[in-house]
Amino acid sequence: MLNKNIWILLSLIALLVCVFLKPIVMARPVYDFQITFDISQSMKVEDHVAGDQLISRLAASKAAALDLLQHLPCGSRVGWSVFTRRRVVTLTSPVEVCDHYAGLASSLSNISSRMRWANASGVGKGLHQSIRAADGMGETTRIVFFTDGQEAPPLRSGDRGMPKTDRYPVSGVIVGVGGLNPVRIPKTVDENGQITSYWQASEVVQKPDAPAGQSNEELSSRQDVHLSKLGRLAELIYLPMDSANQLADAAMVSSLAHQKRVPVDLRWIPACLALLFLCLRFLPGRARE
Amino acid sequence: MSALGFHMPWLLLLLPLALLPLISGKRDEIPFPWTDWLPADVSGQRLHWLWQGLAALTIGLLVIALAGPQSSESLTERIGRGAEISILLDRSASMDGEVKRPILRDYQSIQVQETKNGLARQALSWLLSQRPENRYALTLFSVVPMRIVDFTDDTGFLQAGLDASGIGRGPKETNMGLALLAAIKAFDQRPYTGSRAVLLVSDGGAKLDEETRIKIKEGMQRNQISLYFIYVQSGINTPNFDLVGTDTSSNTEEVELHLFFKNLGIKYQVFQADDVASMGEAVATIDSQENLPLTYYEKNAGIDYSRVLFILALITSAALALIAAVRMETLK
Repeated sequence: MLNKNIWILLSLIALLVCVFLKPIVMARPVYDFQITFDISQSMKVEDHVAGDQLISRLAASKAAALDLLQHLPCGSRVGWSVFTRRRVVTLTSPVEVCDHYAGLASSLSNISSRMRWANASGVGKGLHQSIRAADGMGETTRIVFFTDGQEAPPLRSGDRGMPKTDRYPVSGVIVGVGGLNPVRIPKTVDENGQITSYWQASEVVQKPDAPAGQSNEELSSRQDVHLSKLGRLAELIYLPMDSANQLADAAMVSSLAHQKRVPVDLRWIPACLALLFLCLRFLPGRARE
Repeated sequence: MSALGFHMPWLLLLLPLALLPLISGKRDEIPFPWTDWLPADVSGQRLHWLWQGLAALTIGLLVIALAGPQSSESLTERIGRGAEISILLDRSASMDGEVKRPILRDYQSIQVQETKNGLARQALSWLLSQRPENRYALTLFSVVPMRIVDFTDDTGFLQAGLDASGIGRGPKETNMGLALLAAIKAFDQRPYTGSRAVLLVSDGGAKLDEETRIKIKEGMQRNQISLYFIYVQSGINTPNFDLVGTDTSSNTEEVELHLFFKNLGIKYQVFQADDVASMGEAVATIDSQENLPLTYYEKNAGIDYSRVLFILALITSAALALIAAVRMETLK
């Protein structure tokens, strides 16, 4: 009888520890991200496969950012920026994700291509600006930059389109969104968001040094080659994104984390032990013969 | 309303573990060759049921506590004083410029100059810290309006939006008509809970077309909004609104805008500010005027019930240990 009831005693001790255990301050990995969305017109192309429907590149980017926001541990910080033409506008500087979750989520839902103050998109310049802005936000700030990589007007072949970033020791992730097949870019939409016209070949700037008929800048696809090159130059991770949950895995890595001392609740450890001991005590054994 | 939720609801799948004590009766049996002649041990049987019940309860409590039960945030209605203020902050490149002042007569060295945006941010931050119970919405505008956040009392987040407006340079052009309509739109579909104001901070005027003018007028009146215009002076040659009407030669965009606002048929006030003091004064005046009763909701943080459950589990397992001790005693 005694040897079996020793489990009851052990469980009681574990529970005593559990009830009186205070949160312990420990260094935990947290993440600070300034997240920039390309809101230029090519981001309105609906060629991202989500489940059984096609959504726009911007909508896919927002879904991935929300997924990341939901996965970040408390103590992490997130801010939003938007980019079009050659300029990044910071909407909110980084704030703690648990205290300000509602504000961050509501602010994210307001980001749309209607915020676009100009057409055209110089991806390299936007990337450079977001790196520079993050550099001014403190050394723990990393960037996430959502884009399809479509430069408009196009670069000459061999051009990087990005000023040097050596001075800014900012790490982070470039997230490539969009499909690999070139598709038409929406030009105008009506009040309900329905696309009413697309850019035509004669209306856009074509590649300056491409043979006639070889440049199709009115069509857009994810520019993996260009973006991975920018990633190499700026020492950023390049993530070609096919589904929204890929970002959290790619961004929550030790190279982008920093340690922060936060109180951690460890009561689950003695509580689990107490549960285990009780189960062992009452595990159905073989009935005695 | 507060609803009960679990931090890790999937852990509740372990709840059937609580049945273990109820089905493991066999193991505790002590073999007797013949029991029929024994008197029925009524109190012993009851004690056994209690023992099983307590064990099941302890396991159940532990599983539920580990799943992290918490009530969601609840809201309590309060009536205070304050207003719903839709802040409309000019984010165009001109706001990144420094405030120009006339050269001082005694040729003092010119002190460090503030940008117009910096002035505006300081004053608005002051308002946030003074009146955290006000509801604010924040919209930045250039050629398009950018809603940073809808009406909220999360002043920490609003502050992050204000801070952000000082990073980098803004786009060049402005379209104030669209911006005003966006600031008005923040009030649409909101129940009227107290006084409402649009606080426009800009360094320029605007030419508004007739259609936009009608829409703004209609929206302002429909939503019963007062309008405050903090005009961040660009330099010494900017118009003096006090003289409007007496000096008919001034015909700049700023004056045109001012006259349009004045004739909207709503409460309207303009402030001309060119330094921290005058900006602060303007904001303080607005604060003192927008001070009517306001119904607001105070957020109560969600309650974590796991501690209570752990204490209950501790009590029931103490009782288990006690019964175990008593039973051993009687078996001796």
